[in-house]
Amino acid sequence: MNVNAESATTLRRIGAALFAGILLGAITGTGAALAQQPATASAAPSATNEFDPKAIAALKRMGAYLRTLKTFAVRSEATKDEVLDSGQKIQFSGTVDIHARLPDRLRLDVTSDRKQRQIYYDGKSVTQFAPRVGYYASVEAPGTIRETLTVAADKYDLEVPLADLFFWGTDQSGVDDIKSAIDLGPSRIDGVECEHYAFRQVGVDWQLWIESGKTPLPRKLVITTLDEPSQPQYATVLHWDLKSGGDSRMYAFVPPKGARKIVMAPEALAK
Amino acid sequence: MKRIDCRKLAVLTSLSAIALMLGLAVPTTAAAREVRNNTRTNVNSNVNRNVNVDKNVNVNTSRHVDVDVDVDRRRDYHPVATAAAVGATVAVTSAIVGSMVRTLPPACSAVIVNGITYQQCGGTWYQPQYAGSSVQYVVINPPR
Repeated sequence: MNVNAESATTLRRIGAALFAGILLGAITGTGAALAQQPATASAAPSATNEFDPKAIAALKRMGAYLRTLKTFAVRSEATKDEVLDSGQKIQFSGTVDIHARLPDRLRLDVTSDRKQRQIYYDGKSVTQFAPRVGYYASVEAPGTIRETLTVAADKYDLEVPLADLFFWGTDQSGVDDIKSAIDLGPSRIDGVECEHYAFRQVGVDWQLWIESGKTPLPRKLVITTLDEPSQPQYATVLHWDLKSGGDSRMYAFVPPKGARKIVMAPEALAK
Repeated sequence: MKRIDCRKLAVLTSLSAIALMLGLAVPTTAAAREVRNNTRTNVNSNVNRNVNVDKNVNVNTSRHVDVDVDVDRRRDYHPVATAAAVGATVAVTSAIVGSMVRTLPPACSAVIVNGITYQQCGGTWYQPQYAGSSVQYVVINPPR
């Protein structure tokens, strides 16, 4: 790179920083942001790490509301990017039906392009069943959904999609890990008025659409994985049913005829 | 949203039509492929939830999971599985105990020992197990 090109780049960066400052000033209507932003090239990255305490407050409010729910059902319609060994990015779709009765009943029905799985947690054991091949495996489980999700991930390498739903609003919410939080304004998901937020933390950029009003439910979630060079995304819309989930029968696994029992490999052996 | 769905449908329909013209059944054109499986589906991975663990450790980088694990494909063997099966026809002892495959060779029969299912494929025994949410088969000594 020659000197001219370098100075041109610097000028562009200064321009971008100024523009960001002006834009911010225009939004806040004070112009103070412009004064606080030194017009140097290094100012540009810092502008991307905005931290809006109101966005964090909205996230905490949603978490607190989720923790008031004693039973619920939620259907997740999701797309998930996967990266082939060649580096090519592809996308799969799927649904997950979650039923929960706090604190100790959980049922997941996962249907994706490639996999069908059912997970049953009845307060004593957790069972995974693959309907197409007919294999099921059960292991002992702790007494709560949250502990069970932790054991499943730690001990058996079984990461349950949307486990976040059970950790938001607790001291394991991960809210303290958030480095940047912004409010992107109103948005409608399934005709429901929501507020669109974006967060950044180590390893992921993520976006959340929280229902406006008295029932601040998460209605849409997008997670961008930053560790992978092509930054694959997982995106899901959530359909809530707060009247379901009370029936205890749906949490008990009864092996269908022809189902075969296998074992769950501890994480150390699974790798 | 609906418009995208229609386009997808159109693409799928035309692909099916081409496949039919060529005399191919669509499902057999898809091959089992390895994916890196690093895409996060939770904002907070379990590593982040556990306060005693270093947050910068990336647990997922080297994990490879086949996207087709529970699809029963008789013509689409994992290379290791094929090697094991070929070995088995030559000499029973050539399948390495402890090695793992994602699909079984053809002509296996399920055998239940002490309530747990095993697969016997010729002279080679496999133990099906869940590794996370994926089914895999470990070559074992004949169970008793």
